[in-house]
Amino acid sequence: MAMLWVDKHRPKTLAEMDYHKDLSARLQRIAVSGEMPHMLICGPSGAGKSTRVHALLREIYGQGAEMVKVETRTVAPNPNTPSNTVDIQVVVSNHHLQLTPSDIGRKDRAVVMQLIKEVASHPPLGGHTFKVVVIDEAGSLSSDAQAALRRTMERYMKTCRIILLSDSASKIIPPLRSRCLPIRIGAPSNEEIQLVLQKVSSSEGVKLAPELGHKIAEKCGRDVRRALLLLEMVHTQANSPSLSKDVGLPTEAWNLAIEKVAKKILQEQSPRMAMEVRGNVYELLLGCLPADFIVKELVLKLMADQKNDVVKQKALAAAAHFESTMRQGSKDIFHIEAFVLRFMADYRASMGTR
Amino acid sequence: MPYLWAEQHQPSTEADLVVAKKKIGEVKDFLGSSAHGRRLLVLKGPAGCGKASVLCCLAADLGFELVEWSPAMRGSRSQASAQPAGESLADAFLRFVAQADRYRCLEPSSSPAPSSSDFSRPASRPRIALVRDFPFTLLESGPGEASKGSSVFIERFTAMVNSGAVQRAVFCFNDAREDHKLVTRLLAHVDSRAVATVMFDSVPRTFAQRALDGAARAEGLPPGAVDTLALSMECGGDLRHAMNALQLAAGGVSRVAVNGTGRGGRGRGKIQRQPSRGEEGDAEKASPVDSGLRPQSLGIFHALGRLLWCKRVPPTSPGIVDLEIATPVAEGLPAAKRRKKTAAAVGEPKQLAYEQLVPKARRPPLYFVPEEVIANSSVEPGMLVNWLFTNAPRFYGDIGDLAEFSASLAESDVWGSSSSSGWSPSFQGSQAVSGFALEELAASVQVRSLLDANLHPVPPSFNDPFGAQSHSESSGPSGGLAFNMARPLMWDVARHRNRRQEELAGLMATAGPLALGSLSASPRVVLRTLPFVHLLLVASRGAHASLRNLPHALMKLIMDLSAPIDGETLRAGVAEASQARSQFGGGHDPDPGEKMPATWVALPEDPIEEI
Repeated sequence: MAMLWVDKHRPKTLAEMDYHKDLSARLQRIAVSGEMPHMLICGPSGAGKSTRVHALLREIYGQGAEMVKVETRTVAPNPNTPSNTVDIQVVVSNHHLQLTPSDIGRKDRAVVMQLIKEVASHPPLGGHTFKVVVIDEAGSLSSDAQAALRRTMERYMKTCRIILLSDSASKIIPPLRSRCLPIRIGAPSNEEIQLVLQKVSSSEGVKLAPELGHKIAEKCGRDVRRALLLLEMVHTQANSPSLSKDVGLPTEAWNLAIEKVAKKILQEQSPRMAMEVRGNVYELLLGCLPADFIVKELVLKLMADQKNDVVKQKALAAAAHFESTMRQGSKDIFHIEAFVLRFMADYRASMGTR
Repeated sequence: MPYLWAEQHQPSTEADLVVAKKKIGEVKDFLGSSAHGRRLLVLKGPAGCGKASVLCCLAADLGFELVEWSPAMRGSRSQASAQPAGESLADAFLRFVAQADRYRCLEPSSSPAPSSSDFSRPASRPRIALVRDFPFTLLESGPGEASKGSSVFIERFTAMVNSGAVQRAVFCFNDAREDHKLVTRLLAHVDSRAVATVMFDSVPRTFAQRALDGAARAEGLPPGAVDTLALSMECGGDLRHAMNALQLAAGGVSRVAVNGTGRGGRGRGKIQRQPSRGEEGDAEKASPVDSGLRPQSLGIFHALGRLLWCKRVPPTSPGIVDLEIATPVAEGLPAAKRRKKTAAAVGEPKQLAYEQLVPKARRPPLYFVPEEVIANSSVEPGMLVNWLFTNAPRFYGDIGDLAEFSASLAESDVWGSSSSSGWSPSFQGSQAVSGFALEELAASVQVRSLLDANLHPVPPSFNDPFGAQSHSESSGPSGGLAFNMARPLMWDVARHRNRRQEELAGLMATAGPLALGSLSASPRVVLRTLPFVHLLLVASRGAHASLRNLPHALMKLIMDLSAPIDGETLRAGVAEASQARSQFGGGHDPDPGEKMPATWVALPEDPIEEI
């Protein structure tokens, strides 16, 4: 089946990994030893977390770990009311199970417990001593679920290992962190990304001008996934086997949209404009962008050309404050708008004093 | 004989429909031409937006017979057509959808059934199978056997649609999360060319009012006896609900023409005591009507007006405040339309100038108790706050004030909402604060901060560019001063967002984990992958080597998601409403257009009432 380049050229084994060689070597040693602790793998998106986990699984279990299928598991979170069920999609092989708990929502505690119990209750195949449960985006687990997880980890240690993937370790509660082997996968450097880009393009039979490679690496924010998507994008756009350096790089639609909003905010600070911006924020929300992401991108764009340090500091403080209230509150738009208005007021005040 | 107006006054012809022309056209297309191979129509939309009504009207116009599915039909049918008595729900449903009854000689289980062209049609008109309450139990995924049953059902259904056994079937679905989930699951493997989907939005206010006025006229109510505008505002796009409310409100009104040519809703209710209106007589006559919905529907508008205008009684001490001082400080703003009597009166509340408000400790007190206004508004406090939030910027003259208000909204949202999302269990156990009290307190804080923060109150001088109401009003014949409170869009936004997320999740699950490198529709995918998928599809004109295999529906959704700033979803309703508006103004039905502004024009002036 045809795939996107990102997925097609994903390294399958630890040996194929292009960067963080020392880390690969360490994982290799773990795989060979036949014994593995629970792991907490964190790092920014697009740095290769899940790629490494898959390679590690392959290293341990061989081809069997790649024979995956998608299943819908039905779990009854409350054993007293078995008819009340939750569906969750999981990826399973004979040796491991991968789930994304953010799909579940509020009942994640019971669901994660049940799934792990299910995995642990069947003995591992093929002479292995344990199976693996991979929890993607573990940071989004409720603290309730995380607390329950530490007990589960110990109870099923004999037959089951858990790998947690998360953007940052700070979203994982300390007891869990202490039970896991922490592995941080940093974002690759600019040069490493260029290396990957060249490698992928040559195996696709595309000639990539080094300058363009540099440009893409700059643009992608040290995110390999983004870099490769950009590369494929440029290739599709140019529709030729050689890519020269003066190809324009496209950007995501949300990026342009948020930029537009930021421009509006800087252009006029009035209740009228606030109302217009609110409409645009509604539209961004309609695009299924997470609300905290909107605030974050917005503050970055607002500060981009800002000279006044005081304004910058205030903007950041406001963004941080309202992001935190948003987490606790229920009406996202209130908090986004509160941030926008705070910034408008501060910005206007700073213009007045100058 | 008791009956419901909602049913009694169901539209019977296409002209009576109060749904956007475009949507009607789409449904018509489907019914008129099965030649395109579209055999299954899915109507989605919130309750009471006229999904079934559209279908009924069009079916009648085009000469179809509408057969509606009901689970009860199973028993009676099995006798009539000599089916085995123990026919399962799934069998019955599938048979119904395929309209297998047309071919009595065939076994219903022999699928795929041959297409209808091979057989002579029955003498009756062609049928449309309508499914309004989909038998959810068929798709219920219980543990073990049951879930197998549901997947078998989906398989059979898919095979049936793909093979052409379904001729004309219409499924109506609500706008709830479960519905979206179910639809995507049901249609996951159905050939996308066989299915047409039409999305209905809630009925725009002007449309709803038109329908209500029509019904009121047909019932012989005196014009203005019932405040259709208020009802249409309140119903939130649910026309069925509005009709029922209308019937309730009209209960007891004599149907014979009444001499009172009522000036409409605003003249009545509590404000009738206002001497200047001079409508006492009229109001008294209408007072029996008030027993039902009146206080409530007036309540929210009054509460909004009172709170938003943020007036205070000026100090009576030296130099009686001239109106000139009280009007907006900013020169650019067009002067508010003033009432003559306000100018003369002393001690009449008005929007005060900044100078009179500055030391907050010494400014004149409020002339009302905010909590009482909230209580009298008779809507849920949270709802009132949403309205205030939506309309507040237009009443603020200074961005700093507005920022302050907004900040305190956000603060109190934190603890006000924690009741609904569940306190920590220990808190719940102690019963220290009940959820509702907390919510009420939060609303009270929010309302008070609205009043507290506004040091530069101004009359509204611009419209909410996205507010569905204000936009359409201002383009109407009466200018911007008709009822110009914008409806909160939060629910609509949440609704569409949920729908898209559910659809995306469902579609990605069917596309498989390899198609886009991820299984679930996590935010990560939405942010990092889908935008590029969109760009790739655009750049390659849909012919990208791997992406062209994506399900069509998924492609379309990705396109939708990647056009966030054009605001089509939000503006669609606005455009249609204003269209309708102009249509009423010059068209056959001048009544609602002309009368409504007259009844509501004074609202923004904040009527003074005794609470």
